[in-house]
Amino acid sequence: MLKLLKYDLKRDGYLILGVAAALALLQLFVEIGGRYRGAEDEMRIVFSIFSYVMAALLVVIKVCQSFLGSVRSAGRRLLPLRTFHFIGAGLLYGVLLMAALGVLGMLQLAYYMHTGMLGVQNISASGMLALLLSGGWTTIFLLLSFFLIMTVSESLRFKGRYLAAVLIYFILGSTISWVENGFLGGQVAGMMMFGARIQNPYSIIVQSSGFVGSWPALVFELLLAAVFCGIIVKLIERRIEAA
Amino acid sequence: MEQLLEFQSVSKSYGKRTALRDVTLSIGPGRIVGLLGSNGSGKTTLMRIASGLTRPDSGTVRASGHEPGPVSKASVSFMPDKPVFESWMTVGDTLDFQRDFFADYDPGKASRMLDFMKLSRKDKASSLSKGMQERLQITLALSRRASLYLLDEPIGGVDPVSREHILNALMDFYEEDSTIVVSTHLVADMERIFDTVVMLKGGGVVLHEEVEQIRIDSGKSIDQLFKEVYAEC
Amino acid sequence: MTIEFDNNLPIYLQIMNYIKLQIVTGSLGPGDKIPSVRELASELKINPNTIQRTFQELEREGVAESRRGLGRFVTSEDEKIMSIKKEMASELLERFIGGMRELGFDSENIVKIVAESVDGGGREAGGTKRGTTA
Repeated sequence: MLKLLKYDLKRDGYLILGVAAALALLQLFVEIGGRYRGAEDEMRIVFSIFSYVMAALLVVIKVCQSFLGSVRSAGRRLLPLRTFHFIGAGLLYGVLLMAALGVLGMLQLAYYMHTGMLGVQNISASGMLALLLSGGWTTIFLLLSFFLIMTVSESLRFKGRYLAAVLIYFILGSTISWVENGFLGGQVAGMMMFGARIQNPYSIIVQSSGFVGSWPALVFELLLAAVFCGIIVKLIERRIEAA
Repeated sequence: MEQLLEFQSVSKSYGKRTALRDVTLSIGPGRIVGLLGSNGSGKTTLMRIASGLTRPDSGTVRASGHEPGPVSKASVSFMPDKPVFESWMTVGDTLDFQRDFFADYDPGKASRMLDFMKLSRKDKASSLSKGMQERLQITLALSRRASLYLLDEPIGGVDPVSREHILNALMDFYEEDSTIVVSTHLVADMERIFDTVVMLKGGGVVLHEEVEQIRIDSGKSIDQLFKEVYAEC
Repeated sequence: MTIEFDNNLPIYLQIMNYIKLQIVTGSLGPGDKIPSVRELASELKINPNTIQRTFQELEREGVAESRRGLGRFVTSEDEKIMSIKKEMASELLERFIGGMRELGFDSENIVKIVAESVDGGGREAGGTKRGTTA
């Protein structure tokens, strides 16, 4: 699994550094350029957050592309690896990239706090940890869902299968949300799935404390993740042939 | 004696097209087998199934003593007709890839083959000519001490010089207990290196015989026999 | 070493003849080491099993002997080598005489023609004696 990741990183190394550098430069540009042009604090922060969201989107797209490419590559399918390794490598890749993004974001947050633009109160260590774990799990679950949808659409042979995939995505998302909100109550661990992110920069505290109260939702998602993995593995082995 | 490749009533279809039809065959160790047939006769499908890239619709398969899967893949080396390496890699990367994933990778063999094939670790895979790419493909396949080698058309569509190199490599880097199965339609060039041939036609096995026996029995070369068998194709 | 092989005939027999020729002409002396299966296979681009079969036949006929761990060697028995030479000669003769008879020559004439050729044409004698040229 890690070896697969090694080669993914080798392949995309320059791309990743390029995007990271571009992102960092963009932040500088926003900060300095924005200030110069008299843009308000809040506007700059929102713009920054937007750029991070875009970067996260790029990460998701790249990781999905990498996963599908791996599954379709003869060189990789000939390796003496259990099919699960392809999923694992994809998820690790995603988590790694998101973590890198997260680190950049943290640095920026620290900057904001330092300059007093953000008044964030009482972020406890456990709160931070919860936030990180929540972010990590969200990434994993999101990617896994995408992997599932991609594998399903690759396995289907009729025309319009991609449309079917998008449909499945929404049905899946809605069902999960309904189950979690309805039966299991409380906040959803994978609430990122609907882009239901809170844009207000002052609401970081809310997220970190929300995690603790949704254990049943987490267990549900863990089970779902296991089921997803099982389905993905079966589909890859039976229906998806390397080019 | 443990057979290295066993097919028992294997069938495979792609939609309406039958690629393999009830194929049963058994190949032991220490052989160089020619898998012969015209285009579309099922040669590639057979190899893909043996290597684990494709699943049969029915029948049982054992490659290197196991059902195609992670265990068999560890001792089966398949060279498909399309490149196994990724275009962004250098030659060095492709070898490291083999080294990282295959326990039977032999670095000494690999570097000897690199020299032999006039390839350099620094070359970018995407910048290699078709002939050089084929040389790299065979290097990757033969750099492992596998039990079963499956080579799909190793010399098809390749310049004569590269062809020579590849055939030489096959003979020089041959391992006694392993078996090499080579699929080709260029029979005349290769018939001397085979000890057995399997002929596929329309997805079924029409002949499976020792090469010298064919010569003794029929007084014909394999190429001659091939032309007769596939005359209507 | 370039031998012209005929793909229509068993290769192992052709290699056998080639090796016998080398022994008879002295290129491979009595007791000399014969290249290994691997070496020969690699050099001639012939399947190792075919070479193996050749060697087995050579050993069976007593033309070569294998010594454990050391390899294969040409027999050192001169009489054996002589008998190979005679055998190859008689094969040639059989073919020649058969061919001549087909042309319609009787025994007396065959002998006369041979005598004339051998005495008269040194160049031709060279050709007929050696048989298949390498």
